[in-house]
Amino acid sequence: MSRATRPPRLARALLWIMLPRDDRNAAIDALDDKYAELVKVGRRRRVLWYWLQVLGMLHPAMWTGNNAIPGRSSRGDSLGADVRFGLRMLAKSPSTSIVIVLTLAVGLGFNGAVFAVMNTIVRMDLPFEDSHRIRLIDAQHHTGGEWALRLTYPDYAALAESAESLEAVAAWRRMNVAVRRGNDSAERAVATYVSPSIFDVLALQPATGRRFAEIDGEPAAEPVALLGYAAWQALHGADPDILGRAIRVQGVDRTIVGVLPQTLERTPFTSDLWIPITRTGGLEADVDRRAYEVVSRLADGATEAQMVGELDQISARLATEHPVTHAATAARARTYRETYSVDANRAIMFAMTGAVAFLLLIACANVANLLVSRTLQRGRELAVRAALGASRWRLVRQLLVESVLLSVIGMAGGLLMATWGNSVLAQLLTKAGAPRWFDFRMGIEVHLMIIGLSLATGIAFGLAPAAHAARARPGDVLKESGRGTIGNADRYRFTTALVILQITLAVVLLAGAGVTARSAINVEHVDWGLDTDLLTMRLTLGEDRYRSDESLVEFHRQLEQRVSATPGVEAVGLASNFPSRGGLVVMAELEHRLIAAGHRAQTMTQVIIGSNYFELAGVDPLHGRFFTEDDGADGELVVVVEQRLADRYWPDEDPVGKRLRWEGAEDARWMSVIGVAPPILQSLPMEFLPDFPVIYTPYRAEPQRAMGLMVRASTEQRALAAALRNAVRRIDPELPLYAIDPLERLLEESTFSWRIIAQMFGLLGAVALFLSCLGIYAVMSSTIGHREQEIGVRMAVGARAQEVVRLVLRSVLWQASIGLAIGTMGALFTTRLLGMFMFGTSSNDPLTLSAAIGLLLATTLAAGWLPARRASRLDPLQALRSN
Amino acid sequence: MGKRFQGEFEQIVLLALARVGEGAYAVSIHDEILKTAGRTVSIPAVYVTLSRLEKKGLVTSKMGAPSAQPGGRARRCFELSRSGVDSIRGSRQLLDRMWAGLELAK
Repeated sequence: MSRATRPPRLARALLWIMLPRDDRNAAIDALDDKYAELVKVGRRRRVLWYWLQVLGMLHPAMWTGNNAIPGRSSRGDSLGADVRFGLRMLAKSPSTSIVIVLTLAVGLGFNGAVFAVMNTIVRMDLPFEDSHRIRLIDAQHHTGGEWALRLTYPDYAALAESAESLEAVAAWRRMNVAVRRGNDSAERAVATYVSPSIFDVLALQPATGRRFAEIDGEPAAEPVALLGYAAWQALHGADPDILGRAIRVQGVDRTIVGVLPQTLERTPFTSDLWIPITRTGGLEADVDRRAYEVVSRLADGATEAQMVGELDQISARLATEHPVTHAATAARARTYRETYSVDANRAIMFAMTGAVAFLLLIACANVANLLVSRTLQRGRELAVRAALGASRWRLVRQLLVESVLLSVIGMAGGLLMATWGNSVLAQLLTKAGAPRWFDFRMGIEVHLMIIGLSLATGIAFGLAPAAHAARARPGDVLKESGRGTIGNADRYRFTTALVILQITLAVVLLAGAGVTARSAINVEHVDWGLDTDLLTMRLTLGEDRYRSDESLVEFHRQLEQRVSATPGVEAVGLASNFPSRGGLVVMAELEHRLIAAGHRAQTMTQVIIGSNYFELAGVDPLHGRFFTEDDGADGELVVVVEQRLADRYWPDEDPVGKRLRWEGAEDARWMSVIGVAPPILQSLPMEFLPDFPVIYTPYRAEPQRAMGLMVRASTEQRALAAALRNAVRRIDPELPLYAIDPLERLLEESTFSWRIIAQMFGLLGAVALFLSCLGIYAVMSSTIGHREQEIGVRMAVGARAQEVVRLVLRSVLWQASIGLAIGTMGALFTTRLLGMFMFGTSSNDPLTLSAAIGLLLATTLAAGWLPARRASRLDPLQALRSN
Repeated sequence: MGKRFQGEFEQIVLLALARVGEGAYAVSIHDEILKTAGRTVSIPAVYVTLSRLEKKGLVTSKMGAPSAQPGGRARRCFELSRSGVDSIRGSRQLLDRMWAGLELAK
C-alpha cells in the first residue's frame, strides 16, 4: 500500500489494542476497506475520518452494559467512578493540575522532538528494496585519516567488472547545469550523471517512461534524460505528455524518456535530472579525476568479508596498474547509515538526548513533589475513606488513577509540543546542513515513546504518594490532623531528595548551555581574515560547450572584464571556493623535506583563485608577492601559501622559493612558492574537522568549470544582481548565474550549527532553571503551609520576621548547596561530551561554570524567598488558630 | 433473550441489518445507519456489535465472495436469525405498549 492510501498507523495501532482478539483483524479490514473507498475526499479529511472512527470506539456505551465490547473487562463501574472522581479532584485544585500538566507537556515535548531526530539519524534507511544490501564505495588515503575520496571512472569500471560479491555497481556524479526549456532564459538545475546500472543497484523503476539502457551511454547515442519527480511537478506542471519532449541541458537538446519515482526525492539521489554518463575513450582512461561516487548492491548471499576481500584485491591491482595515482589509496564500502553516523553527529545527538532526558527528570521530580504535597493535603479525606471501609488498594488505585489522568492530559500536551518542536528542529537542522532528503518527521515510534513515557511517569510518580497514603494509619492521621500533618519526617526526606536532584540536573544543563553559548559567541566574532562586505555568485561551464582549457580561461577573462565594467562594481575576484566553504583536499610532496616513512605527502586545502583575489580580499603578502595576470599561463608553476602552511613546513626558513608538487598525478611538476598570505579561513578551526592549511594556485594553471565570483559593489545588491546576470548573458546566453549571496550570509551559514546548539542548550537550560525554581517554590510553599503553627508559635514567643525568613532560606540554601555540589561534579564530567564543539573556550571553563552556579543559587534563593516572606508576615494568632 | 432489553446501539444495528437485507456486512450496515438514522458510528464498533449479537444468537454470519477490487478481501456477511427478528419485534411491541395512550406535556 502506498503512503497515500495507507491508513494512519497510530490510529490503527490504537484500534488494534482496543478490539477483542477474535474480531480484531476482520474489524480493522472492514474499516480499511471503507477508508480505501474514500479516495476522492482528500488525504487530510480521510485521515480525520479514520481517527473519528477509532475514537468512536471510546464511546462509554461501547464499554458498559448490553453494548459492552465482549472480552473486555467491564469493571468500568468502579474504574469509571474513580476516573470521574479523579477528574473532579483535579478540577478542584486547577492551578496545581495545570502546573503538573504543563510541566509534563514540556518534558515530554522536548524528549519527543529530540528523539524523533535521533531516530531518523540512527535508523536512517533508504526507501529501496532490500536497502540493507546497498553500499557506498569510496577510497581512503593511507595517510589521510578518515578523509573519503571519490573514485575515478576506471575504478568504477574495474569494480563493476571484477567484484563478484557485488550484484550491481553504479557510478554517479552530481553537477550544476544550465537548463533551457523552449525560449525561456537559462536556469540552473541539478543534474546527476549516472551509469545505467544505477537502476539495478537501487532496484528502481521510473514512475513513467523507460530506464536508461547501456546504449544510452554510447558517445553516438541520442541524448536522453530522465526528469526528477519534483522537477516534473514544479517545472512541468506534472505534464502527463512529457515523454518525448526535448530539454536543453548545457547546450545539448535531450529527449525526456521518463520521470523518476517520487520515492527518490527522499534519498541522496534526488535530482532535477538524471543523465546517462557518456562513455568516451578519454573517460575510460582517466585515472586522475576522482569525480564519481560509487554505489553498489551486495549480491544475495555474499558476505561482508567477501566484499572487503574483493575490494582489497581490486585496490591492489589498481595500485600496480596506476602506481602514481592509486598506490596510496584503497577502496572501502560503507552503508549510507555509517556515512551519517560520524563522531560529531553522534556526540551532539548524545548530548542532546542526555539534556532532554535530564529535563524530563526535572519535570518528573516536580510532578512527584506536587502530587505528594497534594496527597498530604488530602490526608484527612483519605483517612476518612479508609475509616469507612475503603481498602488500601482502593485508595492506592484512586490516587494512581488521578496521576495517570494527569499524565494522559500531559501526554496530549506533550504530543502537541513535540510535533511543533520537531518541525522547528527539522527546519533548523536542514538549515545547519543536514541533508535535505532526511525525513525528520515524527514516526509512530516517537508517538508510542511519548505515550509510554507519559504513562510510565504517571504510574511511577503517582506511586510515591499512593504508597504514602497506603502506609498511613487512619487513626493516626485523624488524630494528627488537628496539629499538623502526616508523616512529616518521611515526606520531608522525599521532597528534599527530589529538590536536590532537580538542582543537580539543572546545574549540568545550565553549565552545558553556558559553554555552548560562549562557543557560539566566540564563533560569531571569529576573524575570517578578509573584508567581508562582498557579493558572491557561482557559474558552472558545461563540458559540451567549453571543451578546452583555453575556452574556460577565455570565458573567465571576459567575465572578469565585463563584470568590472558593470556600473557599481568596484572590484572582482575569482575563487574555486569562497572563504568558509572549504576547498579541494589535495596531497602534496615537499621538496628537500625529510618526512617520516609512509608519510610522504601532506594534506592541504587547495583554493584556485584569479589574480585579483587577494586585492579584493584586502590583504597584503606577508612575504614575496601574490599572483599576476601571467602566473600559471606557461613556464614555471607557482603557488601562494597560507601563513599556517609556511609556519608548519618551513618554520625557520623563508618559504619563498621552496618547491612542492601534487602527489598522485601522472605529470606532477614542481611548483614554487612565490608568496605567503595571511590566513583567510576556508573553514572554522574545529577539533572534529581536519585542519589542512591552505595553498592557493593561479586559475590559469588549472582552469575549472565551476568557479565562484566575488564582487565588491557600491550599489544596492539586488539591482546589481540583475546587471551581473545581463553581463553574463552577453558572453553566453545559455549560462545561468546562480547562488547570488552576500559573503556575510555564507559566513553566517557556516556558523549556524553553533548557534543552533547554543540556542537549544540555552533553551533547555532556561526551562530547567524555571522548572527547578517552580519545584523549590512549590515545596517551600507547602512546607511552610504545614509549618504555619510552628512558625506562629515562634513568632508568638518573640521571633522576628527576619529570623523567620532566615529560617526558611537556611533550609533552601542547604538543599541548594548539596544539589550544586553534586551538580558541579556532574557538569565537569558531562560537558566534556561537548568538547568537540568548543570554540575559543574549554568545556569546563571555570568562569562559565561559576556563572551557572551563581545564577542557579540566586534563582533558587529567590524562589525560596517568596514563601519565606509570606511566612514572616503571618499573624501569629491566626496561624495558631488555623488548624 | 427476548425478555431482556437490547441496548439502543444493538437495536439500531439489528434494524439496519434488517433494512440492508441480503449480503449485509459491517460497512453496508454502517452506511445504512448513517443514511437512515443520520448517526455517525464507528465501523469497528458495528463489527464488534454484530459479533456480540451473533454470540447472543440474534444474527448469523457466513463468509461472502471476495470484493471485485484488485486484492479485495472476502467479507463476513450477516443475517438476522429467527431470535433476532423476534427480538426487534419484541422491542418494538414493548415500546408501543409503553407509548400507548401517553401524552407528554410540551
